[in-house]
Amino acid sequence: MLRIQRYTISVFVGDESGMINRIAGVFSRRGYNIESLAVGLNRDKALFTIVVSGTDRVLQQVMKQLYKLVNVRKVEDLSKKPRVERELMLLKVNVPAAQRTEVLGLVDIFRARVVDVAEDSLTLEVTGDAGKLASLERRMTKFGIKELARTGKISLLRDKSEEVVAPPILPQATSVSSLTKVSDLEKQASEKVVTHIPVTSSSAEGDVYAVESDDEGVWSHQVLDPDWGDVEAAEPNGYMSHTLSMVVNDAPGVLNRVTGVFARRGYNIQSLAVGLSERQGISRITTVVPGTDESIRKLLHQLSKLIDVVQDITHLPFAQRELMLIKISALPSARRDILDIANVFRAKIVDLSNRSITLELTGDLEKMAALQHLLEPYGILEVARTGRLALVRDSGVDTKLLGQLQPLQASY
Amino acid sequence: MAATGIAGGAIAMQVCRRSTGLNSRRSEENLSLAELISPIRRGISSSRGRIRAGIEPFEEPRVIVKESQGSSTIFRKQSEASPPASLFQSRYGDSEPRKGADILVEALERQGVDIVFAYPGGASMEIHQALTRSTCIRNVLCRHEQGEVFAAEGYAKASGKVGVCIATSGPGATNLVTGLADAALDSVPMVAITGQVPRRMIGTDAFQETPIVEVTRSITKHNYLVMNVEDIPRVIEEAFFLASSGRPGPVLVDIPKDVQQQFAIPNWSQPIKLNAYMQRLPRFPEVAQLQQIVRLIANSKRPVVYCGGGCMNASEEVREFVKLTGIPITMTLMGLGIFPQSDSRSLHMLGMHGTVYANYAVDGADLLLAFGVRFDDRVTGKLEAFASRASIVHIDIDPAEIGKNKQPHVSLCADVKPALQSLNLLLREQKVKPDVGSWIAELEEQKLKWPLKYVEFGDDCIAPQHAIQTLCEITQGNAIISTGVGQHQMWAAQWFKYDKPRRWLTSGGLGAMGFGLPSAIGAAATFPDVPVIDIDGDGSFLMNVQELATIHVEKLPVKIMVLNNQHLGMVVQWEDRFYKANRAHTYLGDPDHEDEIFPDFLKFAEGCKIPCARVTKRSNLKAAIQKMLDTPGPYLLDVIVPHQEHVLPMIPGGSSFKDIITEGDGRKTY
Repeated sequence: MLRIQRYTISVFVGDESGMINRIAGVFSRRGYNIESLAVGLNRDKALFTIVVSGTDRVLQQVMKQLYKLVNVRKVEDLSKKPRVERELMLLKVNVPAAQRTEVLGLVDIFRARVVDVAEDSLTLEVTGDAGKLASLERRMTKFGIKELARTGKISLLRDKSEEVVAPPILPQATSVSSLTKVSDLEKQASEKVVTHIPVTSSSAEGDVYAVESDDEGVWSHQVLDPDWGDVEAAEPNGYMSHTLSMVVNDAPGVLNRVTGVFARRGYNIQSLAVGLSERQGISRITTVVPGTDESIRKLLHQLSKLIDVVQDITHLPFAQRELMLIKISALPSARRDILDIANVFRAKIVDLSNRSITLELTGDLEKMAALQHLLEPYGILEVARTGRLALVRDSGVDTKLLGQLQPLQASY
Repeated sequence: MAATGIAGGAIAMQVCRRSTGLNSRRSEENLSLAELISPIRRGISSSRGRIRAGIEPFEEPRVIVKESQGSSTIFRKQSEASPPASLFQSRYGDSEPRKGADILVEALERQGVDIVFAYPGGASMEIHQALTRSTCIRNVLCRHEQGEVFAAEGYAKASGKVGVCIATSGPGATNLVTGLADAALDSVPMVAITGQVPRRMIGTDAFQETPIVEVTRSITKHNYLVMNVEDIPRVIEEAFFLASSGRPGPVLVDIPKDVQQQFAIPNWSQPIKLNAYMQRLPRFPEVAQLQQIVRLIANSKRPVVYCGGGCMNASEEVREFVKLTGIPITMTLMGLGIFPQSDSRSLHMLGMHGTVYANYAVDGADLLLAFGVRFDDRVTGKLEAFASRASIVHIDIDPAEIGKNKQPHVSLCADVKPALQSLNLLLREQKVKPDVGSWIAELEEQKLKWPLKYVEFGDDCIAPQHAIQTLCEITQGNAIISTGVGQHQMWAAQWFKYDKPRRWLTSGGLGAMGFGLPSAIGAAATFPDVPVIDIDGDGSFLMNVQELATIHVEKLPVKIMVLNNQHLGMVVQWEDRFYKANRAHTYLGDPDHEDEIFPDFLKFAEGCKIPCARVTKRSNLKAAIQKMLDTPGPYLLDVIVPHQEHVLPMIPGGSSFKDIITEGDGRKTY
């Protein structure tokens, strides 16, 4: 049984800074090959979907070694079970005006969506399994692919229809939306403040390390709510989420080295997507990191020492997309309502059983949050998310910015 | 029971040390009556805490699993009920704020720590300040962080408790790395605490900053960066639990300096957050699985037990198993002492430098009972050829070890101790006794045919094997032996007779030279009444020679017997055999004065006020060793031995039993 196969495993990990690095470390240290990796972060845990190639024995070893990590809660081999698999791809194609109709025809066939139009290029978003993405990519090659970003596969098990067991509704087992929790967090934080006693000045004087008392360091910020807590430039000190796009050589251990920089310099990763790019042997890593412009600039310098291309595209107009698979507990009676909500959000139904529905949704962060929030009352059973993908808009148009720039209309 | 005996001894020792005033750093002011009483109470509580945390680490998960699935709640219940929480008397009032470093030290006290091995520096001086305020923790100040981490390993290996070492940030932390890797490979329970630069400066390449959590990620069982002073009690409790439960291993806790300085009121009743880990701890073995093993044993004609470091706490059970079944037993390098070598069923060590008869037994066996072992390449050689005729039964606590190198026929992921207890029960109930008479006779014949042996060359030449044999005869095997790595290590394994577990301290998996002297320090600090002897090579000894200063200052009666052949002996042996005896930087003496012994270890010893002697003649050896043992306190004996000796038998790497080498030395050409 020495046949080399692809295996999809999902790893459920408790929250800890540097945990991505810990997982990636197992693979690089034992010489296992990650083909793709998708990380969906939730409030206190993360779901990694990892595709590894190797023999059955290798897979058994990978799983056992992952199980030895203290914060790993569950490792599951999904390869042999009925499952829904989806991957998200953003694709920027050279399209001269003359060929636009032809491309749009293809877009239709593949049920892709156009997310940005420029003079001579189109940016497409497409979801599907690996085969579908590959065939679209092949079709588009003749036009010339400018840029390509993939998330890596995410996967949810299909429900067996026969089992009519009362659906376990465990809202706390999945990520719950922002509102209630943020207030909780604030409460905790304020409680903590009470017990905090500031560092006395006596020990700070004549110390080996002089630390000014203001806390502006990267470490002083709490781990952000990775769920929906995208930090816009609202904070006065310019602390906000930055989207980084990196191009790396596809070598064993590269993910470990890149995430190591984040972990040891004290940066938190809010989102991470690793997948193949438009060129062979090159992968693209898209990641979202909170920080000030200044601290991110420093991070870029550190990263540039490791890898060829790294770009902070936060301040450029860019299209960002994320993919989510969400399984909701739905007895036949509630099915209609859920389908209505799904319709509004243009979510696709990918699996249906007599006690649950699995939806696939692509979009930006707020859209995911809104859908999840609406579906919460029905009982969310499982959520798998990819990290965010981002490609710079060739059109140079930032819709959000444009909205702000619109002159105020006179009222009639 | 042995456990209580050790703990009781520790209390007596602590009290005694306190009364003799050895703990001089303790401030003498403000001694209230309560404080005078409290050490005794603390002593009691800490020793109980130690049992919970260290000596019987394998008992606990079983209890948890038995009681229910929601292990975190159960554990909280246990810790509430356990003595440290109720009996422990803090130096501080309940609502009195104190520094993070004081919280850390109190957390260690609550874990029953009596000795730490700590070397101060800029980022850890707060911890040392707090240690001086502790009345029940003694610091043994090793002279190098690698020495301190090896000492903590020696302490843990000899006592079964969790070893604790503390170092500063940057170079202090990186000097721990070798020891952490060593502890990870040899499954030694250890908690290493490092100072870190203040939180704000992390990631700025500050003075003495290294990302030690990143660096040690793959060579520790788990590690922590404590970013919040409130987390210290929980993190320390988790660290000790992780280090000692399941397959033991090193845990590193990195604490930034400003967290150490921050004032806070600790909450000692925080529950530990290791739910997933606890659920994965091995369950109590099921009878059906054990029954399968019993059947295999009953039907076997040529069974052999292959046991290793995983049985360190199950020595009694292993002995009983062998007594019940009459199955011969061989031990790995890490398992020496689990079964007495004086017993006729013992086949001694197996593997690359194991005995011929042990390897013969494994090669010819029809049933291999692998208890607490990991089929290391030094043991198996060529994997396909190892135990190729045998059905393999593998019992190990780490599921990742089962089937990693060799696919077992029956596997059981469980702690060896309860597994063997139940297995013994079944064997006794069903009166299973395999018919091994002819197999034993066959092995006895092999023992007579291929005993361990060495060649003597007159009075001017002390065979290193003879030196160890003599030491064993004089001490009657009653000593804790530590070693470096190389030829002397293998000879110490072959020629000293170990009849009890935890009497043999060596770096097995990592093979770290310089392990001998510091680990002897750790053992001597815990067991002042047992002779602790470091059998070292000249190369290994030189790697941590600075610890001579430690044993003098800390008044630790460590005896050092250096087998000095002026060469890197093991590499020389391989050069002789496979590189046409070309010496490639393996001569450690002074090339311009080959007739002199260089370096002069006696001068080192004198510089550290340690009595010493050199012996070159066979006739003087016995007296010299006797004098070493009779001299109170530390002693260095430099035994000059020839470098042509080879460790035999020998199965070259990647070979099988049929390739075993039993003859020859460096005086011959190959």
